[in-house]
Amino acid sequence: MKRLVFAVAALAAALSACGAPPTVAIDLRRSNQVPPLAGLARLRMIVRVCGQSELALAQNLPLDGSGDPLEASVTPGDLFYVWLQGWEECVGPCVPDSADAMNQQACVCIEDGQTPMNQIFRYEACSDWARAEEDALIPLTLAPVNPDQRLCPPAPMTSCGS
Amino acid sequence: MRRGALLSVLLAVAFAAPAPALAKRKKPRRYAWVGLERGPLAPKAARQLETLLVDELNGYDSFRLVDASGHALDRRLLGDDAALVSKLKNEGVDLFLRFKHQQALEKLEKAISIFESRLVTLEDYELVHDALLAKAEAQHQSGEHGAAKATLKHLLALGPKISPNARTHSAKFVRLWDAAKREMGAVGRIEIECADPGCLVQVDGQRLGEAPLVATRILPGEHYVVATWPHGVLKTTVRVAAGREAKVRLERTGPAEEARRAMLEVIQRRRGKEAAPEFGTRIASLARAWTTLIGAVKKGPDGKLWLFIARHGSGGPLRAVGRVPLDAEVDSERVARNVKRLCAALFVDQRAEEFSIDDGGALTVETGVAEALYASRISIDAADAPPPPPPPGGTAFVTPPPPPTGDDDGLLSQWWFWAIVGGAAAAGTIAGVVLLSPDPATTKFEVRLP
Repeated sequence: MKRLVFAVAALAAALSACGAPPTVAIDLRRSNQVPPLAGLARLRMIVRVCGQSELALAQNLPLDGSGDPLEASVTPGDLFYVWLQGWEECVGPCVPDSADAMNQQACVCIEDGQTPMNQIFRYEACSDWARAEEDALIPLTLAPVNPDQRLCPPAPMTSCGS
Repeated sequence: MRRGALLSVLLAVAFAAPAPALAKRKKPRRYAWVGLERGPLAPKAARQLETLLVDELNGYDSFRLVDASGHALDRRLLGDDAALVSKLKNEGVDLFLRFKHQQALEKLEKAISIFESRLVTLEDYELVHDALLAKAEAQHQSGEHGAAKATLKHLLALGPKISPNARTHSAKFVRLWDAAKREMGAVGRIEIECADPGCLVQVDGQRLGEAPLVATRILPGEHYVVATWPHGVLKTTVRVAAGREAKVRLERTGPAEEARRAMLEVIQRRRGKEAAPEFGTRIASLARAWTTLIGAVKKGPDGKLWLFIARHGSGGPLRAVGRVPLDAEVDSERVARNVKRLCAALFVDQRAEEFSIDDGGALTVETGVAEALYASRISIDAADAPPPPPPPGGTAFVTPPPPPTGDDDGLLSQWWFWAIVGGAAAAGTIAGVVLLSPDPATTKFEVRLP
């Protein structure tokens, strides 16, 4: 009987693990030209899934490294990439938030009510396409944005399938 | 003995006298950049090429590039003026600390005025912020409280990082600062557009991107708007009233711009190389430059594109003209390499002739290059402009991601499994809960920060 109870418990645990989402660990480093993260106004994380127009995740990360893992709408098996954006505070006039303003590294008006109101996109890190299948580690290095050689998005995939 | 001493003195004077002159001559000369006549090149590609060219030209130590109006295209030129403003500001502060308020004000006003006339293209406004704060202090100390508050409002409108506090300033001055802040009023907006496309806009040192655009959260007061094209700079000031929108249209006009356009038209309309020196002279004079440089893209009889750069002397005559092969896609390595070669031949080798450089880097001195540029035996047909490049970031995705596959539940369908656990109600409940739970549709991301 005791053996039966153990077997049932083990089975339940195994089944629970089967339904748990995989975890992707991002090991972020910063290049020499990047100041300590505490000096940033915002560290934003974007996850985009191949072939989908909506972002799977767009969230600010706590700059002190605290906080729980973030859950993104990335179905196991999907191809995705991760884009980390380091924003600094800017003073003076700003332009409304847009992809153009960001690409031109303009001072952008941010309306999230949590971070400084005027920010400029200064640093970025971008992963290559990765598949969400099992627990994985992605090393990324935050570097100054080079308008002539942008890191994100990675080169488009010809097919999002396996 | 006395004669020997006299000779030594004379020799010393003879050698020492030209020293300042020689030192002065070492200062890099100003070269005026007229612009790039794009020929058959698409406008966007032409701006890209001109930016590449100007960046390359700004890498030379022997000269500093200015636009046709004499505004610095090379940031190094601003260094001298910035040093002067800094010196004046420091002298002003020094005088203020010695209670010479009037003299201090004169120095600080001069510093501010030089900044406003020559340095508003800088991205760092710390110099003028410091000078304005020092000016307000000097005014406050000399009893001009109203003027001091106005100066502080001017400073506040520029969005300074500095802020006087009880540790750095007297309580009275901090109160004045707070009052100025309270009286600033609601923020406004500036709608900015440029007459010519491709201008990058900066407001109070803050880069805001390509016009047209609307700059928001603008504090009431005077603001410095700068438009930059690869070929030139335009500066203006705009006053924003509390809670209102101001409109600015930036358009380059005036004699320098007219001369610049006329010189480009000489190439466009094949008016011959005799007409170019006339405008070259005018531009050199208006820009206070030693040399005038102009670029052009032309198609050869064989359909191949060429990039030309011509160098005119201060009196206008053509000193040198060279050409290199070009691609319609100007962001290629070949173009970057050829631009470097052409500039090196003109400004390192100091070629003073007509020449062509091929893709292998071989230079051929040949007549007819100037003719090809100014009098044009090479046909120009703007209608032949290549189609614009595909938009960047276009997606090539063709198939959607595969649908999520269900987990293998084969184990649960095994009869022996149920035979084993059939009697255990609790186990059945657990298995049921697990089976009913949905397949994972998410992935967890855990970020480890440095």
